[in-house]
Amino acid sequence: MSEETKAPQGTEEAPAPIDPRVEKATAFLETVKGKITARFGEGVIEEALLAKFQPTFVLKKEHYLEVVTFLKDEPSLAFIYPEAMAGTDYMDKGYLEVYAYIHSFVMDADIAVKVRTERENASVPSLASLFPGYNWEEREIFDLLGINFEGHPDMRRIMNTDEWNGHPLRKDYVVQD
Amino acid sequence: MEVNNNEPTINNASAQPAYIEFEGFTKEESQELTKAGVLIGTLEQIKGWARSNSLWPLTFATACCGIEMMGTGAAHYDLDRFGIIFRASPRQADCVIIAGTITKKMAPILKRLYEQMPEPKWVVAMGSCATAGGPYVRSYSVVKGADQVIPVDVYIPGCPPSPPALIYGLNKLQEKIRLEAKGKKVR
Repeated sequence: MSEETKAPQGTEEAPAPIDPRVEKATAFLETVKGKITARFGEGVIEEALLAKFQPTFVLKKEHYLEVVTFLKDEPSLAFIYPEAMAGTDYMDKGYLEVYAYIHSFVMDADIAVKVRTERENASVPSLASLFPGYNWEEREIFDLLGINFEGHPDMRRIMNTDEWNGHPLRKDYVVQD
Repeated sequence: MEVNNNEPTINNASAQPAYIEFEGFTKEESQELTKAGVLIGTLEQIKGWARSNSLWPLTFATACCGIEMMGTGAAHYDLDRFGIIFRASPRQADCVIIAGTITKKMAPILKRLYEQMPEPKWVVAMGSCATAGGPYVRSYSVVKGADQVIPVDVYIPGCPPSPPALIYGLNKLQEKIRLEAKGKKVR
């Protein structure tokens, strides 16, 4: 950016213009959050935030399955289409995170649902009973991060050999050769 | 066999025609044999000559090197002119061009394919992955070079090697086959 295109240094600061995308996403986030709290109360949501323009809910582990079931079954929300699932190791913060990305054709929007678990004996409720497409995704997350998905129909490694020692995408994994 | 090409001069009556110098024969004998149109060689050498000019590689492409290998086999670089024709079965193959990354899960399959190839057989490791693990050398899932699984004759560096590099490597393999047929040891 050249000097000319910068805003002139006026005496009074102009307020930052509100990005319409942020405005829209915030409204959507509040709508979904309101429906969840109306059904379950404030306690189930750990954090509700906007990741850039992406409404994201960090849910409590013990309410994770029932909230996602509600998001899927509630006719006005109808988040029925699973788009992606991923796991991350936040070793410095001391937890593992599972990220699910679900789409609603009724609302024509996506939400991200996150759940956190401790690194020792990591386990998270399985979504494979709700979305069969998440079956292999959860097996891959188990294979690479060692998160046990409770209630998964077939919880075993998918990519690495069954005799594999450790989970390679853990930050403290040491390559053995 | 070396072609001794003495330049014939038109005016000089004693100019000698070109002749092939055979091992274990005198100059006169070699000249006489060439004149009679006879070629002398051991059976092994003739076999080596035949094998090196009809090298059938097994199609084994596991990464981007495979694209370069296909490009080398296609019309522009045309491996067919060297008698190199890709085969889809290890039973029909003489050599295997390992074009790509060998993962720990792929290694037993590669070993099995190699064992299914009939003797004599050769192996070309194409690219840095097949040579030493390449950019994935610190990865948890990649074998650090195909020579950890099967013996390799020719290593071609590059990431991926260009078609001329692959042709050069295959010419080196042909040279090796012919030299070994002569009883020389090639490392």
